[in-house]
Amino acid sequence: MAKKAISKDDWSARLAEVQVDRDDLNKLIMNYLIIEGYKDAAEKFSQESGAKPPVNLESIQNRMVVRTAIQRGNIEEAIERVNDLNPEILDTNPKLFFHLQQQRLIEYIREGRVTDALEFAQEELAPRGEENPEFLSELERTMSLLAFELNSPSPVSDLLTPAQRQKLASELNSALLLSQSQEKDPKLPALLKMCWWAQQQLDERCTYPKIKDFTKAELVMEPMSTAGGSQGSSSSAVAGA
Amino acid sequence: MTLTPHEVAVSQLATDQVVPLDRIKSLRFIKNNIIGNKTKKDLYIQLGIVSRLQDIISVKDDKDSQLKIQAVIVLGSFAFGNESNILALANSGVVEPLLNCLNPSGDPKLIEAAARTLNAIYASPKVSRQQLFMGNHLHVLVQLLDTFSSKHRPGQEIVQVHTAELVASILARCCETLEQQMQIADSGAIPLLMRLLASGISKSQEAALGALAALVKDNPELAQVIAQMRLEKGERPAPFILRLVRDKSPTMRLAAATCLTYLNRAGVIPEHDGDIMLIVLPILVKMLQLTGAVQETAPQVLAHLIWESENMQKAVCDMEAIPKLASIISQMDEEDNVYGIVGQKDKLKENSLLALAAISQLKEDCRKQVIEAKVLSHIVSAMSHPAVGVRAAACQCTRSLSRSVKNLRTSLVDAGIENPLFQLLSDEDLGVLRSATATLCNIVLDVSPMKKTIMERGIVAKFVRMISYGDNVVRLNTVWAIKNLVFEAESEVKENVMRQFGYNNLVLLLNDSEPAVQEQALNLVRNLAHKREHDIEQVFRGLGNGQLLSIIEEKLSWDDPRLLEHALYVLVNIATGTEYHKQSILKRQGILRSVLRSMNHESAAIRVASIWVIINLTWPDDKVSHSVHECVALLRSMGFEDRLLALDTTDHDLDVNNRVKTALQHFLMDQQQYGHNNNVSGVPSDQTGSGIGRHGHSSSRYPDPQQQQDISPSSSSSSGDAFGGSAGSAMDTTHIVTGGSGAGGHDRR
Repeated sequence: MAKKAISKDDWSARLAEVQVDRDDLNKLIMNYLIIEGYKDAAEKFSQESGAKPPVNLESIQNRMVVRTAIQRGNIEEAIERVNDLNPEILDTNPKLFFHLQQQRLIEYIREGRVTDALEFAQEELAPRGEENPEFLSELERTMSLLAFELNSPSPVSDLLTPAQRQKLASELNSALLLSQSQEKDPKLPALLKMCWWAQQQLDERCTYPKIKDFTKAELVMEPMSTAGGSQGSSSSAVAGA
Repeated sequence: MTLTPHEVAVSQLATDQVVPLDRIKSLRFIKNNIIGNKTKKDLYIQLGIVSRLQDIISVKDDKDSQLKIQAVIVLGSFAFGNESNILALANSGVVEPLLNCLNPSGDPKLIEAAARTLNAIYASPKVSRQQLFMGNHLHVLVQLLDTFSSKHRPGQEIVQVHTAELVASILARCCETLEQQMQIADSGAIPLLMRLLASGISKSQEAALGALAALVKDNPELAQVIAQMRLEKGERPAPFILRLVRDKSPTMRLAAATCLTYLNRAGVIPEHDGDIMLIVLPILVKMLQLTGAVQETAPQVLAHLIWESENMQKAVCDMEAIPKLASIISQMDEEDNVYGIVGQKDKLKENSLLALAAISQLKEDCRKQVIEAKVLSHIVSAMSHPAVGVRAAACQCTRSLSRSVKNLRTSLVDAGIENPLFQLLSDEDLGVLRSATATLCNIVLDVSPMKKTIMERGIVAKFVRMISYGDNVVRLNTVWAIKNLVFEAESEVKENVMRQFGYNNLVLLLNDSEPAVQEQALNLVRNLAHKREHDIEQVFRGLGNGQLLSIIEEKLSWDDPRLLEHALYVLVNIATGTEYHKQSILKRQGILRSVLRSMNHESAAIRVASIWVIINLTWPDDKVSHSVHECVALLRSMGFEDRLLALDTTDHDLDVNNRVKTALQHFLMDQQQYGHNNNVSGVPSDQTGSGIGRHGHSSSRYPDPQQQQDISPSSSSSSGDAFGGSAGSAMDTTHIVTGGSGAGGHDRR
């Protein structure tokens, strides 16, 4: 079945007709900055664009402090802050709490404090495993870090990467947002995903100028293909969201 | 011996000499140790921390609010532990001082913390709610719902809103009895909750919905009040909540659906029946595929909504709810086997089983679907589950399924229901017993090997125990079960049953305080006396014919049409017996007069029954033709023939007419054989020709011999009325309180 072809000019013309409200754009950006916890940026942006932040920026401050603590590996401090902000969060989120404890263990191991690590594992993590058997496999994985040399690669060395801390920071940030009755997912990534999906749908019906790289947002005309399918290109912005 | 840091921290709390800042430090240390950590919570409770904390929060002055706040927060964290932690708190008496911390003149953060802690404590249904309703506490609590009050300090809006949300949750949890509901309503909570509902803040709205739902549950009066209220823009709550039921947040949808369910059940929003079917029902069904607390509670709300409603049950069936529920249940069984833990997901299992019980309650199609979903083996194994709520729900399930037609009932037996069902008859929980006995009723109905095997296991001995159990529903179900057991059973079975059960117990039941029990007892007698002269004789011997007929005579004198009908059918069956049996009826003027009177009863069924008595008594039998004649003569002299003639012309009911004609034939035959010496006026209207002939009767002239006997229609396995009462109380685990976990059988019946 022949697919309909749309030229770049035609496409561009149609795009130009679509109105995008500046206010909406600002809201999207503000939404992103707030949820991700960029308080200073949000303040500046608010000053410069006139877009009003929908929440008290102080609350962002709190989340930022927590995020920073985790990114620096100060898990205990993060826990204390969270407990000050809302003592219910860790009591009602066993998984999150486990991950925080797990990260403490990782930090002990990273610092080479093996005895402390073992003590901590026995005192704090083993009971978590008993209380919730579904955490056992993750616990075992973490414990196995002790079996390897710190700086050499191992099946579990991903635990020592900054990405691991980042994951935890996001998890905690989401929990804080939820407890403050705020949405935990920024809208911008969702929009990009939508665009990506829409392009895939369109791919089956016609050839048209696509956006292949979201950061550039350039319209690229695909060559006519005789077969039905087209390849989806995965832009890193979407994949990470 | 050195103390552990934990012991040090606890001891620091006690001394008054210690600088307050140090005490706060200790509290924060403790707090950060116990939050999220069940093991540490237990440890600290062992170290006696609760009384120390109680001392701190009971201090009257308001100076050290920071100290109090931290102490209250620590208490709150304990309340997030197991139920035993919560009970430890409640038993130490912390509730009262916590309630005092709600004093509106205090630090808003202290009030918030106290509300949070109380909310967590009240999550356990075992904690007494009494103190809340005493003194000024309820009033203070309700006032905290008012977030617009001028008394509030500026800059504390977030704290106040959060406090209001917590208070709404507390009210929802403390709203279980009718009195509590009314007291809360009287304290002015409802308009404030409405304001929260319209506030536009999601969490506040959810909390308000929870409280409103708890207030209207099983309370038609409050349901009416709330349904009629107007929100700020003049809109009524129901349409407003219908919008919330489509919210993007699943917890909001569930809260809204729950509220609407209770309003719907109270019958106060009939104009929204369509919306409930088309909007709320599908949304609830979709929630079955979510996870977490929403998935856990949704089936329970669903069950409550569709209970006793054929339309909704069918609709839910069509929405493929059954496969979804089946997969939840069977998946959990698999997981149990992997982790070996029982108890994590009990509530989910319980609620899913309840939902299945509700869906298969009334419609045969739905029951078929449940069987086809291959979940039966899981249901049966759930009957032996350690958690009482799960057992009760599984039993409800089998009860619904056992109302099915015979071949589906057989599937239950094939799935091995006999064993667990038998065990459940000794269960400690009332709800379980009720469901189990009801299921048994239905299962023993069939002429199946199960009747024999279950008797070999000693079911009758259990029956005897359950008769004296002291619960009306259990007793009723038990008699019913015995009745069904002997329905069309062989003489041997009947004798076996009565030998073990004892006729003296039967007499007790015939004189029971509950008319429904008496009714079933009469039916039992009817079934015993059915079919064979030998069986009738057994009953005579067992009860003593004097006692039997005295009882019948007494029942006949009651106004209760049900008792009347069944008593008559006992006579109908006795009248198929030997001469002796018939004579024992005829000797009793009182009985005959009652029968005569019943022929004019407003209920056609009773008229029919009474005429059958006459038909059977006057049944022509050449072997004893003279006795028959005496009988006819006697009845004629009492006016029976006249009454029949009158009915022949005046009665409009077809059944009655047919019986009248048959009865009149007997009188006519006798008249023609013996002539008549009584004042019989009219002539039977259907002269089927003369010359009936004397002896010998061909089957063409006489009514079908089958009609002589009565079919004891005791197979009322699925009749709505008898189970209607207990079906209502069967929904005994609808504890929708957010976070609450009432076990089956603890709720209101």
